[in-house]
Amino acid sequence: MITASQPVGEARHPRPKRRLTSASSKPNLSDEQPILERVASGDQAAVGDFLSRYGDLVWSLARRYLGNHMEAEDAVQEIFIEIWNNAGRYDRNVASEVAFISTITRRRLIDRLRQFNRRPGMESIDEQVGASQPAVPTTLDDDAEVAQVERVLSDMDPKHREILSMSLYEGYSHSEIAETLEMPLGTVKTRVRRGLMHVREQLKLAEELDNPAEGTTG
Amino acid sequence: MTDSSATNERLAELLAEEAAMGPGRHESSEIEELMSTNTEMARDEFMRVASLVQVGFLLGDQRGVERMPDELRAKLEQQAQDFFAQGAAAGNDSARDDAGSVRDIQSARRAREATATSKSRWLNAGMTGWYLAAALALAFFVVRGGPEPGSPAAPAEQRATLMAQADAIVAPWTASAAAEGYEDVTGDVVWSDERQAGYMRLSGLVANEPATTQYQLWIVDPDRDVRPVDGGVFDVPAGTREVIIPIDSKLEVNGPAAFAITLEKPGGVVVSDGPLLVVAPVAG
Repeated sequence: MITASQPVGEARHPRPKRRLTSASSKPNLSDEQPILERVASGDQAAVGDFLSRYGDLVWSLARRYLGNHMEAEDAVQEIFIEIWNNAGRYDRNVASEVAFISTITRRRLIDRLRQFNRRPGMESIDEQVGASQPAVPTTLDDDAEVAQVERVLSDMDPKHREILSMSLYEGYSHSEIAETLEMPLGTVKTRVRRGLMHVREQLKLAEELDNPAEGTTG
Repeated sequence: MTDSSATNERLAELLAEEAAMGPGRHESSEIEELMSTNTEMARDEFMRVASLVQVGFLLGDQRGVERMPDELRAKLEQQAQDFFAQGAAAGNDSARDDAGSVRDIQSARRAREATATSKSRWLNAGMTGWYLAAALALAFFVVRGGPEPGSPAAPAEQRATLMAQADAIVAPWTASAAAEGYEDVTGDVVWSDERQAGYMRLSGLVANEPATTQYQLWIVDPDRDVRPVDGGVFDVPAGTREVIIPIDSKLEVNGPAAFAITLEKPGGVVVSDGPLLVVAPVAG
């Protein structure tokens, strides 16, 4: 039996108060060596560290985007092989590890959803009941860029945020969003586009404020 | 509005759409054309922002970040170990750098999508008045729910490894309109032309009685022949929730348009009257 997962809406996104961190969108420039660099150098122990830090993130993104346990398992295996393949390309001066990993993840999830041509956010009752794992604590919002994005999202008009969530987080197509929310397709497209552009501008602004001398390069 | 700002706005619009929905064929060409005159925007910029937004929504989701199943983590660790062992055996990093980059995988996929359009037309026509003929002797194999003794890895692991091939395609099974009772069948076919290997994953396919019937796989490759290639016979044991079956095509297959399963007499047939039970059309 197939049933829709819980609807997306305000109930899903009450923004908890988070401690303020630096609004920098600057990539990881700390002295600590990024795990990906250790992975790329062939440090076997780094794989375990990497899975501990980012495994739950990739798994959760796949689960929420594809809405299906089995497909999420396949997708996650593909994603990690792609990460291992590309670990050597990671440059800490260009992007944070979270940005690097989540971009690979996003591309793969989009590919997979398109291949399967299925409606996201649908899963069987037994999957919803039996397959969900308990939530785990995460330190991912220590990442300055992620924290900044969370702030921008929390300040966004709830209606616009809902559309952005359905599109980017839950994998609904523009037409599916338009149908679900009974809204013109053009409006959905415009709001997704504007939402993305708004987040992008805010990230750039934060970077400029944090590094006025460096402008927007690098 | 100047030409330049109009171009920038259009480019931003296209990149934002790409980040939300993935690259469309027509939009991709337009993006490439616009980017040739715009050096301010990076192709990946919106995708990176969309990815961070995705993470932001996850962290704000009341359900929280979900713990990865232990079995999956164990698989990933094993796959990583195999992956790096292969890289070490190759003695350099070039295999890692070049074999499966995001760009390589996506360009391979685009190439497949471009060729699959014409094939899907063939498939639609071919499915009407289905007539199957095997082009070579049948390949026989029986799945008994686990790897053969001494085999290097279980089918599930081999399948996952194959999926990492840059040219790997994944085609989901769909029930055929020609047969009833197969609507709940799910799973997919993974196939790599380069490796000439593939795996079927099937859930919900009713167990057959091997003494009287066997399932048979057919591979539709219109570039090779109007007749589909026999992909072998297989059994689904009773009580099995999911089976993963290696494909053992005896003919070279390149750019398959679809995979299909019929139920036949034991050992399979050379010519099938069908009906098709489930079909996995390759996306295009």
